[in-house]
Amino acid sequence: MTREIDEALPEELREAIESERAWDTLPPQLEERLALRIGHSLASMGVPTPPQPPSGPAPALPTAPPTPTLPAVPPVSPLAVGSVASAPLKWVVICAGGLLVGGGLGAGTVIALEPSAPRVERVVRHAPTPAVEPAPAAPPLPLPLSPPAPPEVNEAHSAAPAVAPSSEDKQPPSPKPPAAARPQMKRESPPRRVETVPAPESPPRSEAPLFGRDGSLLEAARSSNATGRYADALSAVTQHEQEYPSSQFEQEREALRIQALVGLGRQDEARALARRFEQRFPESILLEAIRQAVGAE
Amino acid sequence: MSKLSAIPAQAADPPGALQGWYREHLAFVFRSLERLGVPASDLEDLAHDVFVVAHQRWAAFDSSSPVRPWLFGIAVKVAAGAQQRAWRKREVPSDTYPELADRQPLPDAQAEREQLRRKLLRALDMLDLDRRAIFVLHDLQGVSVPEAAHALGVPLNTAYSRLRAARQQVTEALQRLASPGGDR
Repeated sequence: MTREIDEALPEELREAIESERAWDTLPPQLEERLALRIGHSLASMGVPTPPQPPSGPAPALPTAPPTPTLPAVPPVSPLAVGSVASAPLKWVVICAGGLLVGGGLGAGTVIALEPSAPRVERVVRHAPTPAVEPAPAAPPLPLPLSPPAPPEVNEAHSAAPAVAPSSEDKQPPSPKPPAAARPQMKRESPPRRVETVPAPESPPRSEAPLFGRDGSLLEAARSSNATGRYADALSAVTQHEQEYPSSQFEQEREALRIQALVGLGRQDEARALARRFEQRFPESILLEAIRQAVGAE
Repeated sequence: MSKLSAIPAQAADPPGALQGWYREHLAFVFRSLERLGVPASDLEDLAHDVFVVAHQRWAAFDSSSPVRPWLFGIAVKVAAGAQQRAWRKREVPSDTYPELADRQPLPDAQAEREQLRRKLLRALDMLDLDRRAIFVLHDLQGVSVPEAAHALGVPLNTAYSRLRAARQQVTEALQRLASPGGDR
């Protein structure tokens, strides 16, 4: 960084600037979460990305620089989708954001737990719980990992966040990543669902869920919650619990469940679960969001 | 800006290459947006958008220049768009940096750092976006003034005079915020 600070700058300003420059990095979880999200979006934008960019310095999507710093609390509050949800659902926002953090955490977890695994890249479908076959009990879901959106067919994708991405447009990008993540419930956004041609050469390339069905079920639950389809969210969560009783995303799952219950007006159940969550995961980064979710109502 | 030197080589690649290296600019873009005044709740969304826009405009990128100032230029537009919408739709959030306030108690040193940081960010709120952009890009993000001027599409002299004015304004704001009652 070639940073020329004028010697003549007033002392206060100098100090403030130098201090501020110490914030040039991001908390690993945040960075990871953001990277995954952007990776998903870019991958879904119809760019012919070779599985191995020939000259690219870094492999395509989730080349996670190991970020096993799980307990660290990111200095930025988990309000990732803040502008997304409309005003009345403030806690939804909070919770959804929290869960994004959870996603980041999960990412870290995967990496931390499976240092020997060949990285989380595009192929981890069975990685989290190899024992459980994806979707044995999900008939309506023809493809546990839906084919990546074919590169060319998604004008809708690239159009949305175009030149002037508005806060209202945020919704698309965030739920989109988990495109493969709609398990048994039908997502209500047909326009962007283009599952015509599975990209022939590199099926798992673009939108293959990074953490397999395990993660994508939860991602589906998250986006359902974010759009107010709490029943869908709840069923995704239940499905997830059946398939992955001891998932590494358990905290995220429980948080999503609580959020969905609150959304459905089942406060008592939500509170009870929140209390249990608090006991089981007193250190969880999601705890604050959960408290707000059940407390705000 | 050590990594910058590596970038132009990639610039000729199709946008797909962006997928590989956007990672190393995440923090830059995120912090840029933050310093440009994007509310904490929108930071991730808008950072995402910056890369999406960059991805779409990749063909327009002049590969002989460094990529970060270019990304910053996009970030300014994205931030400006978001700000306009915010003004139209709702009031500007009164507490722009809640994340610094709402967190659990911090060790003193860290609390102090965050306090300082919030003060500067609040001081930056006094600037209009043009001045803020040059101040952030040069003084905080360390991009040289000529490069910054180029990236922001303003004449060099304009960049310098905006920077001067911005520094003065920020200094005054910092003093105000430091005085008793100046900050909450």
